[in-house]
Amino acid sequence: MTELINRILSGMSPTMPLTRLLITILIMVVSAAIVLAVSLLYEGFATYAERKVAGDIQARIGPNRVGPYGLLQFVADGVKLLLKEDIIPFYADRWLFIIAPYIVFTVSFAAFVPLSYSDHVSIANLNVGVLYMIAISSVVSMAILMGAWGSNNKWSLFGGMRAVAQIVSYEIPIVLSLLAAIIIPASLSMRDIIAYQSGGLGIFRWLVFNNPFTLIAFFVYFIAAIAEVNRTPFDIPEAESEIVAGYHTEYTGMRFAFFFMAEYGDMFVVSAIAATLFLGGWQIPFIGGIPMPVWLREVLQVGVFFTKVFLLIYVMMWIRWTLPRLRVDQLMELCWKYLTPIALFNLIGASVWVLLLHDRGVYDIIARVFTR
Amino acid sequence: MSVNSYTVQAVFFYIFAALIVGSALLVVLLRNIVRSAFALFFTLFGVAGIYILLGADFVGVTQVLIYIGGVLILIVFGVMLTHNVYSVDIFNKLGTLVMGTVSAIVTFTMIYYAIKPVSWLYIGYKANAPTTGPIGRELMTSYLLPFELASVLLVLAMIGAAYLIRSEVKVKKAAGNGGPPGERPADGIRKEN
Repeated sequence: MTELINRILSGMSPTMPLTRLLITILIMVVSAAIVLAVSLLYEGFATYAERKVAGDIQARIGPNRVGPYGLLQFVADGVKLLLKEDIIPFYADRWLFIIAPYIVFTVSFAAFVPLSYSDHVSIANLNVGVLYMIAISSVVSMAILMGAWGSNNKWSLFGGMRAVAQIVSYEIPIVLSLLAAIIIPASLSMRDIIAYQSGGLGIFRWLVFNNPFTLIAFFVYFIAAIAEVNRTPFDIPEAESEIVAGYHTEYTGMRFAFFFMAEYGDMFVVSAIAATLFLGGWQIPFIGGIPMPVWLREVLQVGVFFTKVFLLIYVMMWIRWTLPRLRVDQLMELCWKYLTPIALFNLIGASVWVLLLHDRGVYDIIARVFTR
Repeated sequence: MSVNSYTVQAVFFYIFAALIVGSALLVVLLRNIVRSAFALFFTLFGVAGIYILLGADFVGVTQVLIYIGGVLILIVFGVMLTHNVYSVDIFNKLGTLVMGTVSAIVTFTMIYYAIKPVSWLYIGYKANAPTTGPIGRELMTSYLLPFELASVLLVLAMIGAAYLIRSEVKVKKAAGNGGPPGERPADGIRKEN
């Protein structure tokens, strides 16, 4: 995106600072609007997919009334939520109650920014991409607490407290397991990490196959990520059988929809991190080495990236409709007594591997043996 | 004003500066301390924005991670768990007002004289220069001792916090146990395991 701005601005005379400023801001706004539109469309279809997957798993049909195969169900739902009455409880802290959904949604949307969708398609290629994702997702807990407190409802506050405790705890195994993968390409930039995973038929140099430790790290990350986005079996912050709906109990209409969409946005983001760091991102499997026009390569790369992300999201939905919910103490036990120690020792193992073999993975070693 | 990035930077600087100053005023002036704690969110976010504007992307992101994701959550929890949050009288008597004014003036003077002798020069916009690698290298070489000291201090604080919580639980259990005195230790040990 910075390249695009520079390219457009370099064709202009440098004597018009205001015009250049306006054009820069315009490009930023347009690119943000594109991401917003795409993410909203994705979130719509994700809710549809969730209900269809649930239907399949429970031997039901799922939504099938609005549009072909019920595909337009999410449009109807969106219109319904927009038209609902916007109820703000009388004793709520109005300011906090109103601001919270916007912050939750903005933050989950901001996490789409450093993702690398293909070799040249990304909003901003940040040098600290992965760290940015972790940092921005930790802001969510703040906003959830805001909404929970603002609602002035004990179930909301319980849900908010649970959500924050859960997110703060599960950040530790997430960061430790991501580190095990990051130390191999030695970069925090999403694009560099994916570019590092090229070669090996577009599959065997994925970081998940790099060494045994990254394989373990992938599973630790994925389990912790499901907890990070508060989905079943880790959805105690909104456990409907215990605390009504948790931190968004008092929210109605569009404000509720913001929380709801943010959950699906977060699912995309954590799956995209998993796809980027462990599963080769937009590296095209098998046919990546064949020469092809740039546009075709870019389209294929975007397709490959989204396919990987959607497969991971499908697994999350599958888990949600298969496993029962954990208890609060079981959840904390899983995080502190199992995932964190595993991730920690795993990180030490991965560091020793990198120290001894540098960035050579299992595939590189096997390939070297065979080419000799 | 001929440099494009300079103009953009100036615009964003004033946006962030307004955010920081405005929300900092809210933190101080709001009568509801829960709202004050939440207003701190915008202050810390604005500071992160300034860091990123200065090209210190790693520091900016770390600011969000540590201060918003960690310290602020702790502050908000602390405030929310305060007994009778809404009836706490946070506006103090005249004596503290005088002390506050004096300490504010002293702090401002110190910062002013620390900043004044520095000859500031504009080195251009360097947002894309990677800073993470150099920071890591410096931490592991030149600044290894301060780095290790800081981590030892944090571990000590963590052990201290854990100890305080444990001992409080023990006291409560001992106080709430109505059985004969001889059984208390055994009971306590069994409960803890």
